[in-house]
Amino acid sequence: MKFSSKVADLFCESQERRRFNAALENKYDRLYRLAYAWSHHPAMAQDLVQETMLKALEKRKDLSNLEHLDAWLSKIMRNQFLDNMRFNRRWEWAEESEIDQHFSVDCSESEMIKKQSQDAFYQAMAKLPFDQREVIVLADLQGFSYQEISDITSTPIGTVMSRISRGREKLRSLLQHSDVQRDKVVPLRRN
Amino acid sequence: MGKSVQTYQIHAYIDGQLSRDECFEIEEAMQFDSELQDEICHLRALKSQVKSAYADIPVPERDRKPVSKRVWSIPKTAAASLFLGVVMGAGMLSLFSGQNGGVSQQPLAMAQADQQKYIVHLDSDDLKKQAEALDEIETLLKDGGPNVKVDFISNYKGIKMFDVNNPNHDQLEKLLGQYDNLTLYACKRALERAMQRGEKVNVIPQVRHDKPAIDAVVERLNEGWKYIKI
Repeated sequence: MKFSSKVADLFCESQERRRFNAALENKYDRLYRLAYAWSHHPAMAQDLVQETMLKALEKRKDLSNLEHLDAWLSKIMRNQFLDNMRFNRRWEWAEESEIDQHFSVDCSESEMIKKQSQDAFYQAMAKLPFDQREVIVLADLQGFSYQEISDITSTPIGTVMSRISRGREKLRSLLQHSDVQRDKVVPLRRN
Repeated sequence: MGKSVQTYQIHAYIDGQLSRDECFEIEEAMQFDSELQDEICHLRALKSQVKSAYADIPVPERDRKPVSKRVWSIPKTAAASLFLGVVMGAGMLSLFSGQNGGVSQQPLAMAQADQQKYIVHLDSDDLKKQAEALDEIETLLKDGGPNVKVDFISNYKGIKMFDVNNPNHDQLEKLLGQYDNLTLYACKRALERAMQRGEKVNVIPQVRHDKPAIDAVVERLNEGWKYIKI
């Protein structure tokens, strides 16, 4: 390769890196809200966003098209989230179904929820099994298509549809009965 | 509610995942089925409730300026001139490089000499990985000479690397004594979390910990630093 071509490549590489970094920077808020909706814990959500962004920087070259950045980041974040839970000291190698138990341990987090109606809603969401909560958040908050959710969660599209359907039914039922109490919402904890 | 419309179809309808024909079928069924109408109405309300519950969650402030402002701070014309200058300079260098077809590794190395800036990122408390990071840093500093700069950034469990009681502490101290172009950063947030958990991390005084690791990494990447993950 000629020297001038090498310099041109370096320049393009630098431009591409800058575009990627700028795009990543713009996703911070979106990622935080997704992390929060999954974890219900501000500090954990912040950590999760940081870990996701660092992982994205590390794996930058795996993303072929910046248009797919949202789905790619969501997939990274999901893997980080599940890894954190699985390698958690108290829940080492937990299955996904076991992760849900983190949501049902008593603990007060009074600063987290201010509005009474939202309180009940968050508690209902927290009571959903994680596999249902994650697809509902990806569909309703993030606006991903079923195909994208299937790719992010590495789950067949039929399963995604069934989880969304069952999740919403359960959420509606929880909200109707609203037997959840304010001080029973619990964030996921790392240790 | 009509049996012809399946539950999963209703959800797919409100999520906009059906084809035009499938939508038409549901809308036709709705005309004669008030129960179906109510169901769709309720599910739509639930969907928007999920969105509104999380879309307005306040995002914690980050203690730095947006990267995007710095990214495009150089005027495009200046960037184009710089690029042209570099390419022309490269052409001149290749002309002077003599008989090996104008392709030489040496001028490229010279051109890059003042750009040898590396971030070494560690997020593990694995002692082997820590030793690997220190070896990597030593190689970079030794091979790069005075033109190289290395920032060693740790987060998550990697902050233990900078603890005074870390088994690799002596090697790190030796590097710091030997090279003044090595800077250490521990993630501010990771240190705060460790404190909250009651873990004692007694970092050595040379460590900077005034910002989260992601901010430090992104800042440097935007300044053209090379990223090495251990």
